[in-house]
Amino acid sequence: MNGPGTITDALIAAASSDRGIRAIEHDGRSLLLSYNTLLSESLRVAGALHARGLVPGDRVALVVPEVGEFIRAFFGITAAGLVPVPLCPPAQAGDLPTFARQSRHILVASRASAVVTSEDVAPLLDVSGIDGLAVLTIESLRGGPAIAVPTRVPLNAPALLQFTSGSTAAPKGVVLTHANLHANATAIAGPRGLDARPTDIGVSWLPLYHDMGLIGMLLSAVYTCVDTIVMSPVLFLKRPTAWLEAISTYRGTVSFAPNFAYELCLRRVKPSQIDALDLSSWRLAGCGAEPIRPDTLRAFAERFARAGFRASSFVASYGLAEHSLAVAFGRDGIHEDAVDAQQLVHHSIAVPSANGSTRVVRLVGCGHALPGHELKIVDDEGRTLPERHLGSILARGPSVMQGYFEDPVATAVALRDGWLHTGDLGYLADGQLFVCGRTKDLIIRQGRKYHPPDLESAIADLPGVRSSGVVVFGISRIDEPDEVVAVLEARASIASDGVVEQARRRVRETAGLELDRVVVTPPGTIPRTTSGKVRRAETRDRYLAGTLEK
Amino acid sequence: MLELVGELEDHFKIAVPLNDMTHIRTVAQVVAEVRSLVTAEERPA
Repeated sequence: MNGPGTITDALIAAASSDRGIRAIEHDGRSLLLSYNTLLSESLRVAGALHARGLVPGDRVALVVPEVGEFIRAFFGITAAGLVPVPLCPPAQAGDLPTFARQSRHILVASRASAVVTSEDVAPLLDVSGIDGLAVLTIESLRGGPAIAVPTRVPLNAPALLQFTSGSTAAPKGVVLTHANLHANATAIAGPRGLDARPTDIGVSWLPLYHDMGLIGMLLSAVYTCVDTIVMSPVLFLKRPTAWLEAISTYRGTVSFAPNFAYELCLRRVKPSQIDALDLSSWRLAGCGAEPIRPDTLRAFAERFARAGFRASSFVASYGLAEHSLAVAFGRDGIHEDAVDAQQLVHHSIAVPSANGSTRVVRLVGCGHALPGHELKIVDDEGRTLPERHLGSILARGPSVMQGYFEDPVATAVALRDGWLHTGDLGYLADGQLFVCGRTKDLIIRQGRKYHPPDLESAIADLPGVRSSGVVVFGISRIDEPDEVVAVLEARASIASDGVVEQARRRVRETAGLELDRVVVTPPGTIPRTTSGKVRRAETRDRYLAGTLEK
Repeated sequence: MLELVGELEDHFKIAVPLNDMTHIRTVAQVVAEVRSLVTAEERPA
């Protein structure tokens, strides 16, 4: 990897090689874009953006479902000195109202000067009344005119405004500079990261509007100048075997995915399809973005061993958008720590379990802090905790974001005394990070983060439901999928079956999330503060204890 | 939803356009979409 540079510097360096990106679309169409061609096309898109009056530093939203077009647009925006703001396209947002609402929120919150989209998606955007926002199609930008050289921007200039994933009525914009991205990409590629090699070939189906796909797989490939295959997430979700076929066909060496992707392969890939695969080239099979379940990975390794897959290829990873992406990698297979469940739950200490104990929690090690970065675990008072004591995970280093876009309050909560408060819980053992949970209320499913207030507001006005008598929470399970529960206070005259069905439908439609349980209770059941706010954690505790209605 | 689309595409040998998926909300709409795509596929070029 070259010295510190911007995203465009990295593309210019890669353009002198014979390597590039193969984009595979949702319908299987495949397009090879050499880095040299990509640079030329980026300069045309950049020129077209300048010709429309956009100036360096302007934020440009990007909602393009086609992989190849997204990549062209992204690097074009960057080459113009503009700041890309990736958005989730409609097919992955769940339904059109959800897409229109979420994209509108980000367009407004980012104060974007333009949104680059496709001719198909443009009519689906709700941009009414957003002053100064230009809607541009990628098709209209590809003709240029090209600029001769990319627009120079300093390393400390914003490179990316990454909105945190979620349901979500109010995702926050994470501001990352070129220096942040270079620091993280360098650490990822380095010997204590993935130890990238010139012969590596990345394969990814991860969404490009998400940090793991965009930074982890696309930008890292450009920074390290390796070939990479970028597949549509829609294709993977329709046919999980397409991911494994791409690794097999193109001799992929590095590919990351959340735990659910490995589960989906176990469920959907048929034995006859496994027989046709050769996964022996896959040296780094990353897992992250949601809780890692050792049972899933063990089952995957066993099932796909006959295709040449090695369990030692697994790389458990931990990261978050506020840290550009990666915080730590656990290399050379899954490192499990079997700890005493009672000690962990009641005393927040990860004590290795005694042989034969049945009350065991198995956690996966995510490795050590990346070079130039630091990790520590603190208690509620901010005191550093010794090894094997559970506390809040804090991170420090050059990958940490500048802050949340135009949100000083949220920034002050996340960044304190130079440390990023991740909101996640974990412990260190021999310096290795074990992640145990997350911020008390956040619900994570299939890599998506759901904020309970958003889900509650979706069902709070159902007929018969008491105003503000709704609580949604997640229950994290060690050995089975997390459970999402809604508790509703409803009048006795209301048919509970009808309320349950309506609540499920509202949450499904607004957030694309399935509620596992809907509990209808009499008014007055949900505990509240003296000012009338619901106590979510206490409601969850009472539900788990079976005392909610007592 | 996308799992279902994949199964339908494989079974009926059709390709569901990307943005059509976002309009589908009911089983009846799924049936109508598949019928329409199968008919288009069978129509001589």
